[in-house]
Amino acid sequence: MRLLEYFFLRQAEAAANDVMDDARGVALRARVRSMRAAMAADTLWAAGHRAEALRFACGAFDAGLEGLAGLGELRERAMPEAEVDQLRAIVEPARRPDGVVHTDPFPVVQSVNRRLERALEPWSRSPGEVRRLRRVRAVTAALALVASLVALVWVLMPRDRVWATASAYRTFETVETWPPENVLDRDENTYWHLPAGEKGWIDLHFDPPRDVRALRILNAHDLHVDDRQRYDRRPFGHASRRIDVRTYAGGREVARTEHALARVADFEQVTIPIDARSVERIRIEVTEFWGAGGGLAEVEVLE
Amino acid sequence: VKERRWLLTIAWERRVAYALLGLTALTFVATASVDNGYNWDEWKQTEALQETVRNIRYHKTVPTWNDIAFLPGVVVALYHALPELPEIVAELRERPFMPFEVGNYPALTRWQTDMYRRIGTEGFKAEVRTVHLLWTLPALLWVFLTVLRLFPHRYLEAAAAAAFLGLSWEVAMRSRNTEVDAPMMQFVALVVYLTSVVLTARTRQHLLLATLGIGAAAGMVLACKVSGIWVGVGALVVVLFAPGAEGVRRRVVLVAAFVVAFVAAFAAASPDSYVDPLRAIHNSFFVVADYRSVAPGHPYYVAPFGEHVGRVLMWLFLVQPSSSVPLSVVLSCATIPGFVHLARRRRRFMALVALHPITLLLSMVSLPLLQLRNYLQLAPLMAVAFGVGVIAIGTALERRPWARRALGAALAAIFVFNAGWLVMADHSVRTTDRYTILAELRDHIDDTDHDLVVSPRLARALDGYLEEHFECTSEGAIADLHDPRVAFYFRDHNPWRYKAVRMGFYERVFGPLDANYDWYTLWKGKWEHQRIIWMTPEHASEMSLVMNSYLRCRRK
Repeated sequence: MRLLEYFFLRQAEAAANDVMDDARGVALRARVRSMRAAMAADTLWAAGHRAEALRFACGAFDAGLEGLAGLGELRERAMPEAEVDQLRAIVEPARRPDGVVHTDPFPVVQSVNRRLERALEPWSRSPGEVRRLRRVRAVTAALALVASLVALVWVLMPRDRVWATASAYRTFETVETWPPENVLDRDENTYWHLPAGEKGWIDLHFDPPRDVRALRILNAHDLHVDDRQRYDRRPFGHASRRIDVRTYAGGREVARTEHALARVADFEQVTIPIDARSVERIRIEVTEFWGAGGGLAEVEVLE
Repeated sequence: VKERRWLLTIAWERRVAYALLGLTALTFVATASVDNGYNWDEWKQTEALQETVRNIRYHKTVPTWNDIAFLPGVVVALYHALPELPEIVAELRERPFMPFEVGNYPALTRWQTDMYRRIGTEGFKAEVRTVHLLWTLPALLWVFLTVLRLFPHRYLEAAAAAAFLGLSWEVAMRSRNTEVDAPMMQFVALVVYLTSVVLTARTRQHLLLATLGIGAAAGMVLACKVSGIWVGVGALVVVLFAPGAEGVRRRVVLVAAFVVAFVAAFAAASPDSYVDPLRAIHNSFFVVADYRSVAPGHPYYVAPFGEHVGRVLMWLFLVQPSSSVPLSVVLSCATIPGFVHLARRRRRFMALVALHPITLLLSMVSLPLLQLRNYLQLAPLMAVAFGVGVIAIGTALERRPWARRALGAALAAIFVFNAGWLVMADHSVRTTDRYTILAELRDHIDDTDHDLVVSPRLARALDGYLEEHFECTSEGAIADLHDPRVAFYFRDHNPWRYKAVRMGFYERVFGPLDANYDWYTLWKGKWEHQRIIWMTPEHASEMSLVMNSYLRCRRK
């Protein structure tokens, strides 16, 4: 119910329609006075002036009661007399004539002030303000809803995926690995390496299938540095020398081509034409290698 | 009308402040550039995590790196185990009498194999760094709440304090890596916030809860670094002097609560301390000895005391608030009235939170090693002082609304600049490569009139550009050139001979904005970026750059 009232403001509208302008003015002024006193009390409390803070909090309560009184006959609808008496019973002990400051009543008095302020709120608004507030809340909720839906759609939206798998990859003490996804990460300094002395393949998978014009390949090279305080070149010596590129579409091989690759001197890339439609998979098989084993640094798919 | 306007203003201020806080947090997270390359020490975490995965046992092989930095990796590893978890549990239940061998449980082996594949990859590192970044994020909230607690209902100023911290390039840089300093800063911010809560607690229950909280937060700070002990001492003093702690019995209860929370948090976050106490103690002595050792020529070593203090203060006030020194000065100028206002209006809070920076500085400045990340923990207090400074200036300008509006606009403009810088830095990490770096260098050479002293490797990379615009020889005196500048690749010089923690030592560094190279000179970053250093020959000689083989290039 509270949630519905927050958006539809039915009770607030009824209150705004029922209250006369004079009474509304009194309620509004009293509410603002009460809020200002309560805020001042908070600040005094934070500064360590506890007795003053409590005095201001009680003043805020008095101002709230004045606002209620100003509503005249509508007072009972704003807050039943029994509830007001209950609040009075809570606040009165805080006003100690002996001047002794008791800290614990302060939060209680401030929460009473908040209750009073909430009770006065609908009676201090004009019907136009209520309508405006309803519109603002509706628009905000609609925007939040749209934003959430957009976010949800974005998260759940199927995306074009390209991923790589390989016959094997090199690891070193499991701390360093050279997995196949490194060829797709657009980072020239991460590589897919085959284990030393082994030949093998790497597959690029496409979901959904796509037309592929060519592959741009950067061979593996020896500029790799890792986090183990190696500042300079470390000759790993992994690079492919000859590769066999097979393209698959509709479950069958549609193109095949062989290429010789040189060792990388200055990040030069090799473009291998494919020109195939609806490609599901491309296998790059390393048939010969330079140094310790085969590998590739980057494979870019040109569509 | 006046009352209605007032009501609207306070409602508006609150909403705008929350929106600004959200935007700051979003900028902080979204411009994280967690893929900014290599950090010196992250391999230690990776290695320990590999051991953990291999033995399926929480295992930290390197005691110099504590659990707070290690945990994000464990969290990511566990996250990847979630899909297999039901099956793992089912397998364990099926074979209760079998000795625990990983190979006996296929689901466990699958997860282990998958983790071997992932750990060490850039993607995994980015995931760990993201967890680490989120671990740091609450610092913004603590700063916001501290200002709000000290000066209730000053929402905009509290949001400004959070923006001061969250849009700082220095804070953002340190939060990108799996280093313990950024989470430590977060816990220090929490201690600062809970100090304000303890001092303004409204009931005894609140005071007790806040005491437990501050104890736990101080314990976490100590779990981050040994130097965090000063935060613990400060927090204990806070509890002793809490306004609601009158009477011996009450005080004893609060101190006991503090100690219990402190020890529990420290023990939970740093199991080494009791599982492997001798190594932990040995490590503490090692760290102290390492900071005390003097390594001549080490980039991060400075002459003790005076120089140390000067450089730390320079960094805190001229560098940390903004990437632009003039804007840093403006922001820092607002922190000074903030400290004064705190000292005058929130005296007890100021006295208690000042204990930590003073003891930290006094204990650290006698050590020759100056690692600025150790002082990141002072940033939250600076941010709080900034927020309070804005309140103080705003109050002083109460009768000049136009001046207040101008101040607000100026601060907003500075924060927009800082946010823009973070976005730009993030973009540059993604888009910079050796070609853009060379292009930037060429543009800079075109825009200036210096003659050049260029390393042979850089001259080759410039690929004919020098021949076109300069006459280059490999001999001749550098002094004969017109206002020369030395340009070379970072790799062209021995890393340990560079000078660090010196503002303006390098006139320009061409590379991505992944680090502030004046202060973090040896940052490795991404290898392919290959940054270029541009400096005066005098400074080059000061760091022993051997320029014999460098080309002397005179403009045509």
